[in-house]
Amino acid sequence: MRGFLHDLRSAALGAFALAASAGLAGAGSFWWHREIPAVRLACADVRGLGVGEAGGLEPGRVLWVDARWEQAHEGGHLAGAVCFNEMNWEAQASSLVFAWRPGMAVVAYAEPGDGRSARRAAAIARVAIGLEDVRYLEGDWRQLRAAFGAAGGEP
Amino acid sequence: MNLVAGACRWVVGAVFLIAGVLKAIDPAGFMRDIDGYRMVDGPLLVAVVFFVPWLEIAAGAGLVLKRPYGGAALAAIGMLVVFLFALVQAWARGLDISCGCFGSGPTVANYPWWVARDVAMLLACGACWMDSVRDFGRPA
Repeated sequence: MRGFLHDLRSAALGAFALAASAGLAGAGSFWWHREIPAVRLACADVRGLGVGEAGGLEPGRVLWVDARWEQAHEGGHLAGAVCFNEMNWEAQASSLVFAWRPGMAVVAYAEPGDGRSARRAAAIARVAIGLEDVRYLEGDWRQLRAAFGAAGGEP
Repeated sequence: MNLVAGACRWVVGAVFLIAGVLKAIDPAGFMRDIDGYRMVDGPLLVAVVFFVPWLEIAAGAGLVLKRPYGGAALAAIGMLVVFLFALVQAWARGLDISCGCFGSGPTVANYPWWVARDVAMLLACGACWMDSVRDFGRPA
């Protein structure tokens, strides 16, 4: 048993050495490929925003980005929100650009629990469109209807 | 046993080497495939995309060269367990994914085959691991 544990420890050290080597090689590869659009998108400088923090934003100084599907957007959204999702963002880009004003905070939201879509839309707005101060909502956007108003029907 | 373990070592080592190289030369394609699993996003996605292929290459080389044999077998087992978990959760969620196992490319989701292949490789890595343990079969 002691021999087995010794071999297990040796193997773990060997595996750690391999992982460290892979980490170094991977870091070099990342540096080499850092300008690839997919990498820039994943590393986009966007941060999450809680519902409480979002509720403190000044109406008129925030541009809401609805990252859900078009049908969901038409079924109800925050007042003034622009439909801009990962699947059709190229066709929706002009709407986002024309809705933006200097000094506006851009906050993307999706369905509760789908932070991935909200973050992805925020990253595209930041990297591909070039907007600044872009964030994504972590929480239920419906809780913000009272503060910012809603449009497009009752979700 | 030595013959079986030797064959497993060469086959699994070569598979890991080829899979790792194919992914390492096309990180954008691999990122698209990993993104399809909907398990990681953001900087963690980037870390996975740039770490896993090189760990596969290192483990594959380690298995072929037998240095560090046990470490390479252990790393390969660890990776296969994670891959298996990723496949099963994607299968359970009904995601239409490209496996990404051997670089990117248009593939039709074939979960039974992917899972069976991973399990077979896991068993082969187990044989390598046992072969690498010097006191295998020795009484405690």
